[in-house]
Amino acid sequence: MRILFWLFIALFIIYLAVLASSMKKSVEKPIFLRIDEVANHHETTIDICVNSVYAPTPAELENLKSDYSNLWAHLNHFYATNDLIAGKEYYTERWFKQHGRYQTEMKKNLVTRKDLFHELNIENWSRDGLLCTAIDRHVTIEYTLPDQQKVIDTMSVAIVLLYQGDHWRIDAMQVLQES
Amino acid sequence: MMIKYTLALTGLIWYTLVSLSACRQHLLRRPVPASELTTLTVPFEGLAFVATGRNWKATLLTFTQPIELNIEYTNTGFIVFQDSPAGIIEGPGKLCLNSGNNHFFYDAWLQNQEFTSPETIDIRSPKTVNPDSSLNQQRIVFTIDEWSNIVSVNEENHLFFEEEVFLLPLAGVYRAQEYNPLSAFNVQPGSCVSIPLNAQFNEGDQHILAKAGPLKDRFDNLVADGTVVTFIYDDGQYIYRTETALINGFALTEIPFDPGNNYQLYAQVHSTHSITIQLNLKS
Repeated sequence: MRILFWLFIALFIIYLAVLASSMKKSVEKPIFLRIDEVANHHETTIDICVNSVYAPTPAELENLKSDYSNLWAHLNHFYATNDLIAGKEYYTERWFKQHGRYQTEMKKNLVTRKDLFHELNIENWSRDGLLCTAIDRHVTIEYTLPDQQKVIDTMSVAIVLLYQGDHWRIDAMQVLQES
Repeated sequence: MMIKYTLALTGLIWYTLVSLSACRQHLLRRPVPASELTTLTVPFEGLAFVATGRNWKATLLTFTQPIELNIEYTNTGFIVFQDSPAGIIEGPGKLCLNSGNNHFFYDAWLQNQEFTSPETIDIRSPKTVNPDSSLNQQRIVFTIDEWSNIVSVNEENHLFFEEEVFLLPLAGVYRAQEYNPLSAFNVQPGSCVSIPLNAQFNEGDQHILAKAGPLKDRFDNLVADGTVVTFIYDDGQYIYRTETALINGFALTEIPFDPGNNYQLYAQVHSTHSITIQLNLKS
């Protein structure tokens, strides 16, 4: 009887061990513990002009500037690698879903780009500080082609940013077709 | 000695062949599109190119992400086509064709085929309005298509629209867009402007039932449930205070009653007071 009892205990322990080993461990750290390498290695110049009826506070502007820089770091990374996941903290659900339709295996693209300059004109700022619409004029982008040739392009981009979670996130965009 | 010369010669021939093959790769001609490529409408069914070679890869570099394309070879070259019917962020893009170390780029303005139904986003701020402070609400409107492109919000080609709206002072939950629960906002009732108060003696348990209400704000909305109503009464010797929560505009409390005493009772909500009523057996 005693042997049966210990056998049962042993089987139960083995069952627990198998169960524990088969459980998938979450390898993703919470956002506040993660180091954003893509954003950390990014540098650009952002000038902000406020044209909105309600003006953001200096602290809100500083936050927007930092998040906008990080957003472009991830947009460039996405352009070069098709890696949507790395920048998910800077995309709204709508943006993420839309771009997820073209997700293929991640690979290094032939062309990379850097954003050199932004003149962010805030057009609307919600009173609760959760929505910002802006037109980014004179966005200067430097493309590097496979033969290391560099091409610089300047354009204007309309952008909708929503403050969700800890970040400003891109929700929609339009590259303005200028004559 | 002979062997050495043979080996050297073989090496030389091999090197020449490899160099020639490398040179051949570099000599690939730029594929010529069958039609002009200044504007490209996505998704596209087939883009024909006149080209040589059978080792081509095609990628469409949209403004935001690279999209891999498929290639079907023809007698004169190949046709590039797209599998997914999804749209893209419109803007400047590049069609990239590469074979080995040969890369050819075609700059084009990328645009979507007609989108089905643009969605209007109506953002209200603040989400909760109280008539005690202001019934003004900021409204920001923009329209986006199903691929997250901002679409002009009106005929003047404006991308964003903002206005200040004055809400009706009727308490309730409303939606800026009928079918979008996320567009909901609240108009709360304000503070009460007067406190009707009455009291009734209950002979059975020798208590007075005091009732304050209905409590309404200046727009005739019932004051919010849970608002604390304080009943204050004194029997000539002590002052008593009892608090109760408002439900459906009314607050009730029971006051123990000694027939030998005269009581004075009034109710209070924040800085609003009711009239003071006398409680005795005669009244």
